[in-house]
Amino acid sequence: MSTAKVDLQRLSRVANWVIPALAVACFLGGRFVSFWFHFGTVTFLFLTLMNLSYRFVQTRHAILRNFGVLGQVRYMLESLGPELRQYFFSSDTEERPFTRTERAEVYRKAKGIDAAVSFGTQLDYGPDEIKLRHSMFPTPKGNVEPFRLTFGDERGLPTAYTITKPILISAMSFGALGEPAVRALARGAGLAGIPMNTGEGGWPKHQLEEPCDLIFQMGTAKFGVRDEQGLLSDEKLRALASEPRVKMIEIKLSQGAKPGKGGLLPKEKITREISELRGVPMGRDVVSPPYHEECRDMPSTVEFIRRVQEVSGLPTGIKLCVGSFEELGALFAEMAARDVFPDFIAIDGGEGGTGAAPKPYIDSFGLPLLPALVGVHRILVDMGLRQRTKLLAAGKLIGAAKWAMGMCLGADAIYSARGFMLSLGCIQALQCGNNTCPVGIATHDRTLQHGLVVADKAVRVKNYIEGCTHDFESLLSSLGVRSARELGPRHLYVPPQSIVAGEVAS
Amino acid sequence: MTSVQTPKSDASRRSPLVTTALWICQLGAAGILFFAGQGKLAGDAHAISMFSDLGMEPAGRIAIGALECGAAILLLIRQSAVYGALLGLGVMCGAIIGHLTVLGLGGLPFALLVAALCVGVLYIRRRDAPFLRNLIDR
Ligand SMILES: Cc1cc2nc3c(=O)[nH]c(=O)nc-3n(C[C@H](O)[C@H](O)[C@H](O)COP(=O)(O)O)c2cc1C
Ligand code: SF4
Repeated sequence: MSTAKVDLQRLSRVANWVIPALAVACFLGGRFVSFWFHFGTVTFLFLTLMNLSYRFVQTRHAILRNFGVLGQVRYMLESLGPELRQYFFSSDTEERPFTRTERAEVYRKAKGIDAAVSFGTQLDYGPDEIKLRHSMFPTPKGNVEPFRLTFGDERGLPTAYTITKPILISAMSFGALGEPAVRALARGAGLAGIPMNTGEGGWPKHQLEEPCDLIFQMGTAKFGVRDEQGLLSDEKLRALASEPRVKMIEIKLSQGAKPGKGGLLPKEKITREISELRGVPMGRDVVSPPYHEECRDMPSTVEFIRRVQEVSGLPTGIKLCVGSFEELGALFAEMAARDVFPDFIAIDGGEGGTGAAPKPYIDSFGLPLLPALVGVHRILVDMGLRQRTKLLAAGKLIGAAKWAMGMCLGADAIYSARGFMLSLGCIQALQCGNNTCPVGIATHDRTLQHGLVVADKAVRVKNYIEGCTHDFESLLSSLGVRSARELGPRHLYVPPQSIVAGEVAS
Repeated sequence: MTSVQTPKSDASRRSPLVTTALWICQLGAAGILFFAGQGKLAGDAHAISMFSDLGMEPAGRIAIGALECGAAILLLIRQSAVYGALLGLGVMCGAIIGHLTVLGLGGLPFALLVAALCVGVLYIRRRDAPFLRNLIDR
């Protein structure tokens, strides 16, 4: 929020007592001083009832569950928003990382409201933005093929995994997110039939209790599958891969928000549960190394991928944020030489999100998604290796149009993290790292988690997925193609000064 | 625009029985409130003595009378009926407190009746106003 920072949580805890106390005080005033006080008695009585109802009766609004009538003040400001903001705060297209307009669209989708926009775009719509090119002859509805993408088919794996929607939930760990958020995402993904990445939160206990397919992420600390030294334990990986709902493994080489940097899990955060799920001792800080101990150079990296593929028996991919194309070219050459390819490569844009990372890394490290994606696609095509793997793209791709743009530039499917946080009701308060998330997503504080009702938010996640997938199909029709596989640079208008322009021209 | 959606009112989905009940509540509450309110504004002897007992004569009598008339008018207009009911309920809560603590139980049944009618309106129209919907949405 752009308003001054107030600790809503503490304030509302005070309000919970102060409002009924005022009702009592007014009653006494009315009884013994002047009847006029009873105007206050009635008002505070009503406010008390309202507060209780917000906190315990309704389940739809996380802010109201957590902050009661004080949360209502926030809603009121929001509905007066367009006018107020215009003059005092920031405009509809100013907030970052996601503008109010972008967020509002996710919220609408999540609530299942199919609202058209009136009169015109709120964007500048200048010639310096990438746009989609429609066809004069849209594909008739019904002729657009349903989406299908299979991972692991090049290797002829019996465990090859097929997705039927172009979107997957990108890595968000239990740890960065609290338990209810993880459960709501997993349940929503299950309802919509898409897989969810576990993030590097260790053994996916909570996700496994919900009915959805999982991509297990192995971070550099190998939480969940590590031995005492923090190296990969084949035995634990095998145990994990034998869970029927774990469908794929993702080896995280780097992440857009903090490429080339490991994380530190402070000992205060290591609860008994986290210690068990991640396989780390309590009472000691745990350092995630910036790279996998097993991957010291190109050959050992490729061999590590082979090892994970063989031990798990599942489609296995890698996730990375692009730093240098030369390095990647060398890595792909090594893969070709050893005939080992990851079943997918997830490209994470430098603009990617995170629970917490140092500012220079968030702001200044790693290639932005589009040039990275275009570059990787190009290198693979030039080396004749493109068909050996699948490309996934992540980086602020929220909404069907952004998905389509990613797929025009080489992605086979789309990964999204923050889009799903928004669908859970994230208000972009940017407190994910402080354990004080006001809507109970990025927090382990039980009193804040009270706001997030899993059954309710799971439906929003599902609605969001289905709404966007529906939009995506209609975009394909307007682009004049029959399936997402046909998408290419020719479906894009790319401004000449853009760094990806060369790719589109060629 | 990112403006809030105005969902369709539930009016179309209400059964005739419920609609009848709704209008009985609205008309009943409005009638009694208007009758009581205009009496206070006009300065009935009964009202004056009551508000003298409360120590609010004449300002309180006029204020409450105006609020009662206002609530009655709001209750008669479809779009504002919930707010009228809320206002009516508030004034009646005050009246109930007054009867219980100062005035004696004589006028209590009327106040309770109007309060109940207002609650009826609020209940039947619970989906009409955002603030009510937010209270109970599940
Ligand atoms: C709260 C949060 C936690 C994340 N945790 C992980 C993680 O454990 N492992 C990882 O590889 N990426 C993690 N990410 C990065 C996302 O998976 C994703 O790559 C990135 O946010 C870009 O996608 P987006 O723009 O759709 O959010 C996290 C992101 C967020 C916002
Ligand atoms: S703290 Fe919560 S609401 Fe704020 S940005 Fe993070 S997830 Fe969203």
